Amino acid sequence: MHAISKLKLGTLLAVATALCLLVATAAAMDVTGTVRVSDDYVARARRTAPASHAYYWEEWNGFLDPRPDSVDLSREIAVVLIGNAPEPPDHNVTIEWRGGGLMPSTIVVRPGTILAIENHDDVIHELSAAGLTEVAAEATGSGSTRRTLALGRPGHYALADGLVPHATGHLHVVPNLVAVAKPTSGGAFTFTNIAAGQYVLKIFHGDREVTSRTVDVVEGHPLTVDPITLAASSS
Amino acid sequence: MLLSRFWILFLAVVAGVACGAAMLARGMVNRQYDNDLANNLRRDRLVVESTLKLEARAQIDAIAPIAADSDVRAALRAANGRQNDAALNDVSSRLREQLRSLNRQLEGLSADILFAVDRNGVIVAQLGPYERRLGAGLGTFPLVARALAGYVRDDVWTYDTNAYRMAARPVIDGGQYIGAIVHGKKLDDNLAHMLSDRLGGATVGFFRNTQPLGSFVPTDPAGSPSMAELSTPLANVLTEQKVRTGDASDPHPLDSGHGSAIYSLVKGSASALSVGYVIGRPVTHIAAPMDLFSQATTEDFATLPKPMIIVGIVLAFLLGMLIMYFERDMPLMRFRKAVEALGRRAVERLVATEFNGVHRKLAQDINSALDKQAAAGGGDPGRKSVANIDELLGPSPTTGTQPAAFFAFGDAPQSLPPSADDIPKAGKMPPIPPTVVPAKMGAPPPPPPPSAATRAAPGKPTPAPASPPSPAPSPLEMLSLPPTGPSTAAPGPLPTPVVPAMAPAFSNVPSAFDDGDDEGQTMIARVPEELLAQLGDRSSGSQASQADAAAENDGAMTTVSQVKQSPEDQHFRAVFDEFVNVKKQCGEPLQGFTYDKFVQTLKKNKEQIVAKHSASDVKFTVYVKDGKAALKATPVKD
Repeated sequence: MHAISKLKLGTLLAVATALCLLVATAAAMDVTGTVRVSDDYVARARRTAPASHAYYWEEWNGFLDPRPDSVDLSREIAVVLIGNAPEPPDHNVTIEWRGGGLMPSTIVVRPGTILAIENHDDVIHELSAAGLTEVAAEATGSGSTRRTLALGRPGHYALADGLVPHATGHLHVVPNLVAVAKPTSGGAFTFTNIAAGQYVLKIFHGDREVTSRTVDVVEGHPLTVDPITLAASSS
Repeated sequence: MLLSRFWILFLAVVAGVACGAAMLARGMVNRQYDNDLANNLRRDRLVVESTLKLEARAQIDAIAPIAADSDVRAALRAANGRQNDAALNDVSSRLREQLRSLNRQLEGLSADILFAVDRNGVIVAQLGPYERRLGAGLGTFPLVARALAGYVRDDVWTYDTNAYRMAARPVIDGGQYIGAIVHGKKLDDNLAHMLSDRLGGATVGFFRNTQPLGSFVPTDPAGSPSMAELSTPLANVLTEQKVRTGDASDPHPLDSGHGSAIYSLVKGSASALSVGYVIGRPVTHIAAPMDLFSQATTEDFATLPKPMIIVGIVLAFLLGMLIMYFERDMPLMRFRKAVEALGRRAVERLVATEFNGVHRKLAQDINSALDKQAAAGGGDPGRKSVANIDELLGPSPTTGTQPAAFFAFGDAPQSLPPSADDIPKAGKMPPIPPTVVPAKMGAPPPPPPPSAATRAAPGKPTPAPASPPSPAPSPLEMLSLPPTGPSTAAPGPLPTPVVPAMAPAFSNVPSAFDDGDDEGQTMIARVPEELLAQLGDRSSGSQASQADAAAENDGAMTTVSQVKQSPEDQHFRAVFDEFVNVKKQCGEPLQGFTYDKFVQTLKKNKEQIVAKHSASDVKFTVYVKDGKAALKATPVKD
């Protein structure tokens, strides 16, 4: 009798847990959107970018019109949601050395994040963050070598590569960070499984937060944020 | 010898100036050398920059055929259309071989590292390090990003622990940018060698931080600084703001002291990693002034104005010799001739006024020695010497009527001219004996002269040729008769001098005439030639002259006060009378002492004194000197 009671109790708890999860899943919504950049924003971004190192020659090839300057949204832009929702259990973030630079180069994490760095380049990188002892200069060898860092204090930290000068980045440690979206090269982004509630959507580019807006996630209604256009005047 | 002294002083000054100039020149040359070296290094840096720029352009142009190659374009087109990275394998193999073939055709510009990247900057094929690794990307490198955007460009990278001069060019196909060719050449010893040759013998090295990447040290010039020497100051140089901002450093003297160097970062991404180059040149400072000549080249010697230098040397030599001739040789020759004449007895004494400096002193000493020797010889009355009235009178007074000189008539021992040493200095004169007796008219006639026997001093060691007991010699004879034969008192080359019969009473000379200066102040003239000639005649026929003088003496002694005379004659007569009187008082003999000869002598002396001192008259006074009668002549000026 006692054993039967124990079995029923276990089953009851399992069912209750399943129900709870089912309710929670049913309440989580996806938030999607698109971010674009205007020409003046690109121009300003290029002007404020770290000065390109000197060279003897740089000239048009003479055959085909050059491509216009652009912002690599997938690498340089970070779209985040900030709110009071319970923090997701996953505190691990992985970034990569790829194409000779950080991918992404604008990194937004919450305090306590474990940051993993993988090197997919042929060259050795040596990442360091000024003012952040957790990111001391240390070489990361080529061929997907991994390095993990524990980040604690909120703030903005400039990242530099001691071996590849152009490979720079920006690390933002932000409290109440709910989710980080990875835009595509076209600017589309998606937050998945966002609980209903009110959030602040922020876009970081480099060392700055360039724009933010409030979004309300309603249970049962996936949210599509209006396209966000980054302009020099608005940022 | 004044000119000689000035010439020697001039030469000493010239030598000193030359030494000083050589020492100054050493410092100046070293400083100029440092300046030139610094300027050369700055010029070298510009040459290196220009060369690297041209090399970069050459790289960009060299990869144009690769970027335009159809096989390369086809491979990149295929790579861009791949479904996954694994599909790159086949494309990569074919493209790598094609790149290898094209790279070989570049010859001197063949790449040490060569990439072909797709439109996203992913490596499709690679020559050099990591040839087999695929999928890595270069898209974020500014060089590659700009090439993928349609630009040709250069850069400097650090890659696989080396530094490369990079160049990139887009690959265009079908009106699209489908990739890029990235070409790299090492910053190594070969490039340093090429740059060193271009600079004409400077050490060139590349570094990353303090680590050398490549260098070349030329053997010519010798002593070029090594890369180790050039690397020593790197730690400090790289902190300089000028260097950090892309400019070149100032030329740095090396710690080894063997040269200077200039440092600069390269133009490109690698400058952020302190990749740069250094140019060094040796410094050859002049350690000693004589090393100036070791620095001279044959061209330097060829440009010397040799004729001018030779002419200058010859002129300086001739000028020196000329000065020596005029100031040493010629006076010496004149002195030698005078001494020779003295040796031949052509003259009785040396005329000291004809000589200057040491020769005058020598002449005076010789004269003094002759006089002393004659005095030691016994004062033979037959040995008379010429009395130079100017020598006796001394220098001309400068104002009014002053006593000009003193002289005495008498035998030689009584009136030897003093040597220079015997002349008392000014202010140390012994008191003048107050025995000067003014000449008076109508003085009693002198007593008859003593006999020759009383004049001849028995027992004298070297009596002159026997003076016959003839009448007393005339005053001229007393003054100037030279000995007729060699004197036993003066053996040797010099002739036995004749003791002067008329000598200055130098002890009584006022200080105005004897200031102790033996050179320049005492003005002594040569004895008049006619007087010498007359004396010569006298010496040859002394017997007759003495006889005539004795005959004249008798008449003269009786008629001196009976004839009406001019004031000059009256003065002469008074002086004669006084002189005879004083001689008598002094017990001196008067043989041959006649008025006419006395007056003749006074007149000649007066003429000379008047001419010498521009005096209007001369007054003679008689006084006693050393127990002998003596005369003093005083020029009278207007």
